[in-house]
Amino acid sequence: MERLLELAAAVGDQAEVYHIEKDGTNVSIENSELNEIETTIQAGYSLRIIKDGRLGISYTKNLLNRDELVRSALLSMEGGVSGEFGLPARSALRLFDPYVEEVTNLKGSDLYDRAAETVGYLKGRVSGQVNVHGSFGVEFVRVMNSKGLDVAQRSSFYSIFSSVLYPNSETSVWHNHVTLGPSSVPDEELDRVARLFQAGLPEVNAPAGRMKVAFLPETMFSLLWRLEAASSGRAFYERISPILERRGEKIFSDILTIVNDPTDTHRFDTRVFDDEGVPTKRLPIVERGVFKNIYTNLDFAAKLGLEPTGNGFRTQRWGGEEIALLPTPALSHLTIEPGQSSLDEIIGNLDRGVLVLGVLGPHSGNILNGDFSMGINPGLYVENGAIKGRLRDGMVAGNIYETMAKAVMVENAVRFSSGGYFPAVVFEDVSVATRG
Amino acid sequence: MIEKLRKIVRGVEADFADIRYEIRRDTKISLESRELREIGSNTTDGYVVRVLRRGGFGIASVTRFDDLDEAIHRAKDAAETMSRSGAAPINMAACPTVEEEVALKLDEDPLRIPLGEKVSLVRHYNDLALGEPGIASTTLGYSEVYREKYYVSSEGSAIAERLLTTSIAGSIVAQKGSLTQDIRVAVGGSDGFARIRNRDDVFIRRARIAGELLEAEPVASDSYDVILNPLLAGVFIHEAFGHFSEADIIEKNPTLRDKMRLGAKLGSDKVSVHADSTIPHQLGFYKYDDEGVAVRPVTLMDRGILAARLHSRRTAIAFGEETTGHSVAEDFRYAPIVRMGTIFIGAGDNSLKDLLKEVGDGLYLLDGKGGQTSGENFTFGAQYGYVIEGGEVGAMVRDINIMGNLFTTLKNITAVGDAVELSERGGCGKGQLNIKSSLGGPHVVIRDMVVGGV
Repeated sequence: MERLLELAAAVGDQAEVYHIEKDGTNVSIENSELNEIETTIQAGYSLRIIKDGRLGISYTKNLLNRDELVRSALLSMEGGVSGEFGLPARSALRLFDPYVEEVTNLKGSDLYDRAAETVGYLKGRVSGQVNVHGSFGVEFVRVMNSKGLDVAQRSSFYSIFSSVLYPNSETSVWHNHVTLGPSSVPDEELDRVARLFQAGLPEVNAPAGRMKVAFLPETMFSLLWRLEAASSGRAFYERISPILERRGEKIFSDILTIVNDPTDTHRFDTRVFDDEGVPTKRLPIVERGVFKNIYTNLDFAAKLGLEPTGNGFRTQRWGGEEIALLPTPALSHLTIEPGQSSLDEIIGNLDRGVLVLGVLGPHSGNILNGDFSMGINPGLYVENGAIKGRLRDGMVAGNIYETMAKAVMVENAVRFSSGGYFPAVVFEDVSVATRG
Repeated sequence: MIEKLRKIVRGVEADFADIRYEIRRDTKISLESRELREIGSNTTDGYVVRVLRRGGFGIASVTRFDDLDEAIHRAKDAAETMSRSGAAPINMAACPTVEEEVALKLDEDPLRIPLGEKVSLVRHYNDLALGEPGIASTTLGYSEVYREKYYVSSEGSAIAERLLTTSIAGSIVAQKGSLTQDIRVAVGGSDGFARIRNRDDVFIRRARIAGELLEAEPVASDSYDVILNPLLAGVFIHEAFGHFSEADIIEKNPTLRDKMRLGAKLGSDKVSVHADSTIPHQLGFYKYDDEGVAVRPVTLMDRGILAARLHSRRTAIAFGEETTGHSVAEDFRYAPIVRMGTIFIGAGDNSLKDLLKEVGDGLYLLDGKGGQTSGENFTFGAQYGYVIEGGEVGAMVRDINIMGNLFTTLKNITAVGDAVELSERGGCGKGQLNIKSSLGGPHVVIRDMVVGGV
């Protein structure tokens, strides 16, 4: 890596090498039977060279020919992509490895044994098909640049994803247990899955209309994607954000505080620097309903004349791999701060409403505008504080700037689900379409 | 390369083993409005090894040749674990041993066209879109994925196949005050660069639709009789039905498997569905899948009756059915899974005019915009639509999502148009991305569809 950086620095004004190594194993248990064990060992390098305000990029899986990698980056520079930003200098960053050594010695069979325990526990408590997917692995990320920056992090993860399927379907109630190292899924989490699943066994028709809708942690991401698109430095630079002029204004209910915090060491996915080597920080996006901050990577920060917020990650919603993607502004570590109500109190408070446990098509509709229109799958229909059963063919639709302004209850606990730590949140007066 | 792979496979103690080595070259150009965001050509490579031992199956993928021994060791270990777990033993359906090198058949080889010329073409289409009234921004990119695949099995198959997919695609955003509307645009395929030249009309037409959407009314949530245009009908059949035709999806789900038994009458007499990657000059074309099985055309549904499904060697033998050649991987990072390739509803004999008349009052919905299924339930968006009144196309509507139950919907298809159209760009994400996933159909009429607006 050092030699590659030297070669690149010699031909450019600034240069950066990003390196990632991943070693992971997946175990899948389908219908209580071991279906597959798969291992992947991947490595890769990505190079960025900036010269005369122009950016050149290249990447490879195997660092066999450093000269060629530099040549590819120079060739790409001829395209004229602007690179008017400065790479970060060495800083007094305190590095942190969210890492448990034990994971490196694990075998697929170890994970299978523990996943099988989860299957056993659930089988005795639910009348649906049980699938469990486990994975563990280690990852190493290092970012070096010609300004002397050299930061690295080793991390580990261990996850057990349990789901229970309704008959004739792939519709499920699920839970994802993720930790740094080997651990069993807490019984109370599995009990929650079992309880929600069993409550949804009867399928019910419900009248359409506007009602209270509780998004459970499993589905909260679908609303936050819209906020993520709108509060990105990209949307501000392009001037296409619907909240362009609303910084400091109340956009949501004051019971909602939404924060992105990669530095939180209670998470399993702590990151103290982003994929450009910029120190990450706790960044409130919405504080008690007020829109506080936009987030940026190096490129959009420079374009907007702002300090970078440490949100440059090599990621995209689907597919792609880190080395092939450019760092883009991303809210990778979201949390909604917990509120006052237990899930039972939330259910008890719904005179007529739906608990949304899964959504179909969260990526459709005008995301930037905040619009959503998603299938509820599954959703539990509640009347007078009691779950009646699983909603047949329901859709929930709205715009987050209307819906999230009408948040009325926030659960008093958060759980990791689909990219963040979220509580359940109840919104009132939300449009639900059904066959009636 | 084939010889090197043969040597590796010979060294694996197993009942069956195979190895795939792939070189992938990606060329990417991205424009955001008039700004060039990304450009470059890069090559990556890696290996996937699969080991079958005593009914257990293990898979490992690596990028470094030096990690191959470790990968084979872990794949064997995984196979042992599975064998001991008491899971039903895995086997591979028989397939002919093949030794072949499959060359590309292209109308203009994109690899020979200078990067600068590709940039100019994207810029040209981008300028056309930005030039239309109401257009505020665009995201448009050129993508070229070249894959050189080498496959060797312990049974003696040795296949080299090259695949090349190109596209110019993205989204066009129109804006008026605080209202934004976007529309997708894509041209491309697997048969060369010529396909993406001279397509000005497509970019102008799509930009105009985005502009018109600013004046459209949001659709009112209700249940409607609808006509889906060919590409939306394709999204429906791919998402809602096609995935259930992939044997690995239903293999371990007994209730679904029972519902999807061959011979079951699942759709109306009007519905036939085909998977055919062998059709030349379309996006989904390939000859051998990533298990060395030649792909063949499959009629999945014949006038409403479930006739066949798509298989890997592993699922074919588990179901006691014939192999179809649909076990496909995204690239060297993945083991193959069952993929549908090119799927479409077969043509009927009605013109669009007939269909509009048949519907009378309802909605005409066009072009897919994100779709998802969970078991028999599906949701997907339409990019735009029109009210149908008295058999005529009326006012434009926006913010359209349809949802329903697969089996009910298949029975509610009451008429099918006479011309099949296939998509030019794919992107099916079933764990792995399949950029060669092509879909389509004719216009279809569906009764009583739940449409959710905002």
